[in-house]
Amino acid sequence: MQRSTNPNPCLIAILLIVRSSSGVSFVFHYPPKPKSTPTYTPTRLHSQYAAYTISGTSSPSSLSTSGSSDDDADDRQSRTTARGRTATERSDSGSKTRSRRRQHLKEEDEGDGKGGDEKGEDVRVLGFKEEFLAGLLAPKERMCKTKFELSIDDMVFLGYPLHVRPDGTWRKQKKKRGRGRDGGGGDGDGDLDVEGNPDAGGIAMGNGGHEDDADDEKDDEDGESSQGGNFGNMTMFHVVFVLNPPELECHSRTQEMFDYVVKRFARALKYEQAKDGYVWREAERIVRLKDKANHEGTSFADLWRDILDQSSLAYAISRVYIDISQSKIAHVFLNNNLGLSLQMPIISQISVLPSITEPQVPGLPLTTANSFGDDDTEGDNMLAKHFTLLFLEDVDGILKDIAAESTDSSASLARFVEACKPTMSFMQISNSCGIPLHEIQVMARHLVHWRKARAIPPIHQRDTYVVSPNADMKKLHTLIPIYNALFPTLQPLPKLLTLLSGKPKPFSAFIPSRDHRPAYLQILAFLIRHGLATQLRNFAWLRVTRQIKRAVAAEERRAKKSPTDPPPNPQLQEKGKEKERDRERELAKMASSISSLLSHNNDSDSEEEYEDSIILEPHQASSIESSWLEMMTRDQPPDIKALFDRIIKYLNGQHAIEKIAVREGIARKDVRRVLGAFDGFVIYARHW
Amino acid sequence: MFTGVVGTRRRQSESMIKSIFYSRFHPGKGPQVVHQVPSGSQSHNTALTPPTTTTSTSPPPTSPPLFDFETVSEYIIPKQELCDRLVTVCTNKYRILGYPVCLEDRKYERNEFIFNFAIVLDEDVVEYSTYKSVVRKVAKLFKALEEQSGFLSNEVTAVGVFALIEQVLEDLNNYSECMIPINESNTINIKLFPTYAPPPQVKAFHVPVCTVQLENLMDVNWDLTMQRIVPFIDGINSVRRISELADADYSLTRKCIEHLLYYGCLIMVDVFQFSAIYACTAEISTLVQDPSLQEECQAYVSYSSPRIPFPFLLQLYTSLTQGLTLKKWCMENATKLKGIDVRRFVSFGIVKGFLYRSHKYPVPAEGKVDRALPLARYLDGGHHFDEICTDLQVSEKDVMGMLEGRDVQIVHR
Repeated sequence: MQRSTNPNPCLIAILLIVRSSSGVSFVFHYPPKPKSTPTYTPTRLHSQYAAYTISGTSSPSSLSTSGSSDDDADDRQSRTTARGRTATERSDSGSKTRSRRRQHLKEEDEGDGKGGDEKGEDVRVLGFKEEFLAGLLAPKERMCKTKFELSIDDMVFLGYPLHVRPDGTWRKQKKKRGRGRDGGGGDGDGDLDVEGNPDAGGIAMGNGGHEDDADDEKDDEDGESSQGGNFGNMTMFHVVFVLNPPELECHSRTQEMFDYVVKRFARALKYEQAKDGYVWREAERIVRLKDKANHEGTSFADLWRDILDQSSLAYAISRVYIDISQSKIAHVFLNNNLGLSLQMPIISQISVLPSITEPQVPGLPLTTANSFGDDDTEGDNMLAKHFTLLFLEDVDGILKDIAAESTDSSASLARFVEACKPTMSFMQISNSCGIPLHEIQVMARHLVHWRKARAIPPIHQRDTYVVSPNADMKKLHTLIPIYNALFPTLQPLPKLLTLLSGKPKPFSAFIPSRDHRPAYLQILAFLIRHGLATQLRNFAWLRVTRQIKRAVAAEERRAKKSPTDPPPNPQLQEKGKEKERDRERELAKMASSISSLLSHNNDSDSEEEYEDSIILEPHQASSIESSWLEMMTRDQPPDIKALFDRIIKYLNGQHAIEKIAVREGIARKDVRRVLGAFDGFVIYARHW
Repeated sequence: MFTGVVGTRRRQSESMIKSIFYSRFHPGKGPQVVHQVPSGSQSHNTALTPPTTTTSTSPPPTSPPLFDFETVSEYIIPKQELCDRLVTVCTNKYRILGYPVCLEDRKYERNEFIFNFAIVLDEDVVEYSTYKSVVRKVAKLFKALEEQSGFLSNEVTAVGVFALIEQVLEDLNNYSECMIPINESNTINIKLFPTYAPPPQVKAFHVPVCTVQLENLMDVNWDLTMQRIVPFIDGINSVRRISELADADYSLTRKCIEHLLYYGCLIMVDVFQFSAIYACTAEISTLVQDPSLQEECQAYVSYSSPRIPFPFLLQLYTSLTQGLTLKKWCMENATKLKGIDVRRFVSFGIVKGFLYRSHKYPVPAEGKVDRALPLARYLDGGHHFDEICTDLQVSEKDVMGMLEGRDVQIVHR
């Protein structure tokens, strides 16, 4: 499923630079004609933001492909660019008009200069000659094996250059280069997602006959005479990711790209290079194809097609570019051996609705139900087992993927995926299919991590759902046909959304009959999956009325007068003071009511002395709050009192009432009963 | 108007700049660091030592160098292609911001003179974009100086560079600005400005609310459109309406509003209407936990002097719900609304983010739109009534009238 709700990868191009004994060469880049703005626009607003800070200087117009739609895009681009520039220029010069004029001059200048430049026949990438870029991006050995970050105006070149070791190998090794058999360890590459079977490593590539020879004589002669196929020839390779992050996000975007994509990809390549000279072999293959094309006058487009056809590395680079720049997961298969999956982390749900001037990511699920964390330590373990998965893709497709991978765990994973229903919690699924709960949670996290599913509280017809305030209304017309195909005989999607637009009601109110229930729950799952609906949940606070306060005060006065009881007031005052010091801010209001209570306790009460207030943390109540709570519960039967004590900690506005029942193992009915008994004292807020 | 949202934007923290150094291409020796502050920030194999004459109070280079100049020299003194561009490079956990300049003239030994004034920051400084303009400005200034009088190539005047960059470093780190006279006609004038996010797009149906007293800030030099529209920014009028009332061009009005938004003088809300629907967001719990916000709320929403108890206000806020128009809500709660300005009550919630407006969207029931319909372009589901009404300048009722007889569903989001 297309998920357009991602952060901005700002990826413009990926370059491959190699240094060998014959010098530095610019081996490959993708896309064939990179623009200085990403071709793929993940979300309109994000890309718009990105456009603000893009410098026009590096996008030679003749290199960007023509075609009317592109031209339009370029136009728009330049307009937003101009505006964005003035915004930034504004900050370093006081006068707007001056900077704007300057801006114009500058742009004209650039235009002219470029017009002249472009006439030259040099192959230019991102506005630079290939050789120049190659030299620039082939850093000295001291800058290798660490983050490489170079920026030119607003373009960032990000990489993890890797240099051959002094002994001519690519990897520290105890024994001589053992190829194929060493199953992925030894490189500190624990974070590589090795999916393929490393044992397949020894198998040669189909069309690389003579490189195998090179393989055989590979070893120690690094830096020795340059014979064609010897991969020892290469001393450095560098996969460079070119980004154009918006100015303010520059740091976070590049860092994220480096941590999640750049470094992992480079390490995987190094692993394959160390094993059998994969990178060098592929680099040579690409260079040969380019030379050949040069001789034969093959067109640029054909050449790129040939390269992608024949070089698995070039193809992998193109996959990484295409998928990562669309914020998707890139699956690549290197050297016929190593499967690698790369992704930038994405925000999969939000709890705060952005204001109208904040960047919008419509379609992103809106909820505060996030008790199922990314790993075991996060989230609420008690509650996590009462969550379930909502698949974001077709279940059959997921099962097919699982079958294709076939690892030890795929059988139980498939069993779990089949058994998992959005109406059943993990615990219920565990009971029904016999897979232990902790295994289910591990598998669930795996599926969430790879964006196959989202963790949600199980959907239930008794719960209330509304149209999500963050629903992507613009996507609606694309969803309607899908919906119609899935639920042809039921109410059309717009009608259903209209129903959910009214005053919130339990979902069961929209289900025409008991027989319709399963189908309608499927519809609900569809709505939640596409971010069209969200659950409205109740949150509650305890309000202390002034009547209660007055009653407590009156009682204290009576107790004071009675000689048998110790006077509670001084003690109370002491205690109250102590607590206040700890929580002064929260209890500032409480304090004033306490002091007013104490200072006036000899006068007769008037209505104004007491004011309603809210107990913020009822389970950590101060002594005066405790007296109020005691007064509130005094007339209730003991079973209600006992239940109330159990649920009181949820009445601080942070916990959904809906989850109390599962969290505490109390019947929903009983929760309702207790809260009903305290009706006058509870303030409910309904949100997601 | 609303305290707390007023543009209190961060100041740059102190001593961000680790070093400033001046390097140039030496015809005989290649790239060279000529001056650096503090001394010894970069290690370099060449024999150039910073002069310790001048006003220098810098400590002897006891601390280890920040990085090795040789390693990155190709990015500091680069080939022509990179000159007159902002080039930054990271090494050894430092970020070096430079703006290499190349001057071509036959008077120079190799017919060119390449130099760079670079600023060194910690690599993990997130907000370094401020320094980009500093580096640009310094480069352009010295370029001009060199062109005017050969300031850098003349050995007598070039000695003064050390004192200059030292002063720039100290002043920027301590005061975030500097004003250093160089000669009769040249001064280094730099101020660090925080970089703000580009202003979001302003729509015709947005309603700007002031966070500052614009009238007090304004003087005769302000933009004419700005002077015209400011009196109409009252938290009620939409951008479109403001341009009409002020008799100002709409697109100019929008630009002005964007400028004000950029500097944090405004926040945007929706059009307030009694026919609108409002409901709570998850932020309502922050209101309950923040006594000062509650006091602000109490003071803002009530007409009369007796303060309305907060639990009472909270109950009112939480009784706003999806599917219930404000008008109906007012009727249901008529007795409780004594002393409360409903418009202020709602806009406080919107501005603070604990209320949201549930918009109405017309959606064709079949998903397909007949292009011939008058409102066809608004019926893809992506346009709400506010937008349609302000665009067409008609009332909601008229729009409903136009949709009459068509199979259109109204979805509230």
